[in-house]
Amino acid sequence: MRHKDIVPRSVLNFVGLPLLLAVWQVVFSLKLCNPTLLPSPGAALGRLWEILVTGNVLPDLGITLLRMAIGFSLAAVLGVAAGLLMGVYQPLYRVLAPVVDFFRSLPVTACYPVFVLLAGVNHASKSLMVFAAALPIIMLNTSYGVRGVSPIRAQMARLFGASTPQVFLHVTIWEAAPQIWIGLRTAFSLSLVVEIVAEMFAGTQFGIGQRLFEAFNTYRTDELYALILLTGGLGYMMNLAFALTERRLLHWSSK
Amino acid sequence: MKTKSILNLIAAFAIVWLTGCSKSDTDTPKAAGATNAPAPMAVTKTTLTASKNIWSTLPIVAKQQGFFQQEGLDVQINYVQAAKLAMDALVAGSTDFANVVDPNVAFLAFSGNKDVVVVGTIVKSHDSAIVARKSAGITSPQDLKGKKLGVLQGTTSQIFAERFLEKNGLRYADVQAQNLQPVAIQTALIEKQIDAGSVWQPFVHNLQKQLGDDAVVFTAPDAYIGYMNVAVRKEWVGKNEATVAAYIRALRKAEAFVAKNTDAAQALVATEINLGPDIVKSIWSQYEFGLGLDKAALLKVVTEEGQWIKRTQPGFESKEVPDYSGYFDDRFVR
Repeated sequence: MRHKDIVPRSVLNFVGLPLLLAVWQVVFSLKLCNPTLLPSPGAALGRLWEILVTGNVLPDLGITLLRMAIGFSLAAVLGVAAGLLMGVYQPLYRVLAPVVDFFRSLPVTACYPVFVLLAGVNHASKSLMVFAAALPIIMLNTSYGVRGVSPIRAQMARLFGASTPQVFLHVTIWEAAPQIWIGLRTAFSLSLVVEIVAEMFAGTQFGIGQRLFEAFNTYRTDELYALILLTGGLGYMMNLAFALTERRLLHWSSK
Repeated sequence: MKTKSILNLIAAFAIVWLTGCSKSDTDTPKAAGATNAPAPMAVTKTTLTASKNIWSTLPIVAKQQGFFQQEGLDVQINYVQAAKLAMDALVAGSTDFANVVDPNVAFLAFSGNKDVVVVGTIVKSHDSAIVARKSAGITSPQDLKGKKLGVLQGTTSQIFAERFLEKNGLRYADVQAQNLQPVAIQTALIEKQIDAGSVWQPFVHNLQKQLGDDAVVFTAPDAYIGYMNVAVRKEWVGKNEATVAAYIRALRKAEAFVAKNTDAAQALVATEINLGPDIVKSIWSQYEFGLGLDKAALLKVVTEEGQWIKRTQPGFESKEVPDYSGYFDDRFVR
């Protein structure tokens, strides 16, 4: 008997998080971890509710999302354009792929002085860090998508009289789109992580990362876990939005 | 059949591993009857979590010079980036000893945790400073007014900055405080993104070196004295008093060694913390290495920090300043 016959899939989707909270509560109740480092889920959720309802967290959330959005948007525009060129022109791919791969492997915080040099110490350097982390992923995935296009389809389009730009616009881009989307989705998730890490690493006046660091540094563990839940929830929602958009935009890709 | 053999192999490894893990903390020698050789001294395994910097000089010397061993201890030092992480390891029960600074105790008490106790101070530090750029028009403390000052909020960086400014007739609100990590303060100052920064060693030294003639360093040794302390868990001390006493005796030997062999101690510490010997030598005088515990003085310092936390740190306004008297135990260093 398959699992969907026992428990509907829609129900299974909502089991994970309550299960996690239940395990957390058991760990807390049995005093398996020191409460100074792990508060009860109730305390964390209570604090989360408080900071959301009072709007106390909004300046931090807003600035984090804004810096992330700027960095990611620039990376998306430039990354897709550069990735398409890399995919189409073999020599360009050969020249750029090792360089892009090199930067993809670098933790952005290691290059912090470069970002300060280029963009100062405030908002711009953090957006630049997001941009630098997202760009290689988007570029490479886009180029992989283009390079993976079926030559038979392109050839068939040409046989029907399509010009090179027409083949590119009507075959290549559409076939590469699912892979481009994977790059964008991966880079988007990473962008949130990088923005928060950048704030924690460098420091800033407002930001979820800064607030996480302060809560950690001052033993306000209910706030720390409230922010962890908020960040996780945010990441989940963003991913869900991407998945839903993918289903609409690239409806053919999963068929 | 093949699967069974693999499972047997895994089971054998697991047994060997579990046997290894289940060894008690104290490695007692083999039964005396096994050989006629004299029984070696019992070795107690223990762990210290500490930040990898000059503040950890005494335990580093005690380990390197074999003083822990002489006292029957096998101390494994686990290095972390900041004393706060050492305190966390202690609270979590994953280390026996931790090197913690006074603000760590001040903040911890607000959480209601009363499990931790400081049993000794190993160094008093005067290494906080404000480093500024002359090119930003700063040559005296008063010139800091209206300037961009990098501080790390909620740490000694902010405490020192506030006290230094007050000492010089300025208020914290008179400067444009920018919340930055020390590493970012260093970079931002060199890149001229900020005018000054409140930091500690080795950042002060690094900035002086990088800025050269453009650097101006403001110190105020009395404004803030940092205490690096040995902390343990109260319940653990109850069961391991002999270990704590032996640990303190080893630190006492290290203290004597540092006093008599300063050059050798500097070289040893420089190698261990991977800092240039010239840097260690140049900043050495900013630290008073010595084992002790001035309970009254430390209690005053931490209580003042508690009041400062309540006054300045977000989220603490409505909290009561804790009673810190239970966080210090001087019987081992008396």
